[in-house]
Amino acid sequence: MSDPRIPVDDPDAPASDDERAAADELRASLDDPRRANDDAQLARALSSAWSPRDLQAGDHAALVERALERHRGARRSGRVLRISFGVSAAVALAAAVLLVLRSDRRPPGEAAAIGLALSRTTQPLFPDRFAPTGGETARIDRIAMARGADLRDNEFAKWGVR
Amino acid sequence: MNLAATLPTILGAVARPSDSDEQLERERRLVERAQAGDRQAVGELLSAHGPALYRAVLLPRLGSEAAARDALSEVYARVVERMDRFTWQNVGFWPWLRTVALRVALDQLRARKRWVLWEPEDVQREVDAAQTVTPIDQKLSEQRDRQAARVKVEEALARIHPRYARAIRLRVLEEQPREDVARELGVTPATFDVVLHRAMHAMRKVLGAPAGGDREGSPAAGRPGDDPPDGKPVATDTTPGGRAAQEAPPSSEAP
Repeated sequence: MSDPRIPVDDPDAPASDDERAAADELRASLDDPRRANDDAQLARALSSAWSPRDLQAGDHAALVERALERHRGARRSGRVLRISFGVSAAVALAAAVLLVLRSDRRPPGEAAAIGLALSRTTQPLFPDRFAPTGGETARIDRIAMARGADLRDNEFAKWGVR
Repeated sequence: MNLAATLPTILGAVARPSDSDEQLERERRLVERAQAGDRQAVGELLSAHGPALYRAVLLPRLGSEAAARDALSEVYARVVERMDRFTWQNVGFWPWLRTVALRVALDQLRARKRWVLWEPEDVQREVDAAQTVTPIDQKLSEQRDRQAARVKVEEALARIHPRYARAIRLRVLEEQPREDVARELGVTPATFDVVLHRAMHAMRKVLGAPAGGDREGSPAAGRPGDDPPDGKPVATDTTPGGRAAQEAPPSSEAP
């Protein structure tokens, strides 16, 4: 059975009650754009395409102003980004310099005083001459074992458990 | 399209003082200043073209003042953000701005289900066409946009019963008072409400159906009681004079 609200082919055919209700709803929706109605929405779309109204000058000025605020914000954020980057770089540089200076100022006898193993050449680990070829892995292993032992000793020394 | 009716508009557009070399040069300098970060220049460019963009491009395609206003705001945001990508090509700022607006309209049409005359595919075709036209076409695009919108409406009206078309024309397009239109059609206002309701329903059906079919609401049309298809209306490419070959290209990278 067909929906009684659906219009018939004859434009002037008698209307059903449902059709009258839908017609009243359309009339009310055309008068009040806040009412949701598909027919009224299409009517407004037709009207907008046929004779589009100008945007109110005040509304347009507000849109332009908002865009310009974004423009200012975008430029400011770009500037802030550049400044932030510059400040970060300067701080990093200062920290690096400080680190170098502090490491230079460390008392030379501090490590020796608590008996820590110091950085030193690996030459004592290899009293014999190297063979012309081969043996690299074995030499690396020897260095790793020796320095691993140094590290453990140093940790124990610092913890006071040696 | 009626050439006699359109020709004065086209000739008027060609002769517009805003199309003069001086105006172009002034606009070029504004664009340069805007790209250098001059806020006032950005504001002048938007103020010069925004109202026409709203009226000729956004509102007809989106079919709602609120949607068109939102779209214009988005267009401005994109313009501000991408101003540095614009390259001056001696055809003014309008073609680029129009392409930005078409893309924004396309996004909105894809995102929303609303009864409008334009399908996303129509606008996509317009965006594509905007890459391949001559400078003179670009200068005419505002007039052509407005003309095309009217042609689209006329074509839709031609597909429904003449009495329905008349009801829509008088009440919706010409915005005549309900009582006057009822008198014109020889019915009571209450009966006119029913006729208009039927007319809008017929219009929705033809917009939801492929173009070229039977006239809706006429004896040869679909059976009463047929539901309109789901989804948005299908609109044909009604651009006068073969729009695809005449649209304005953006004068720089498409945003």
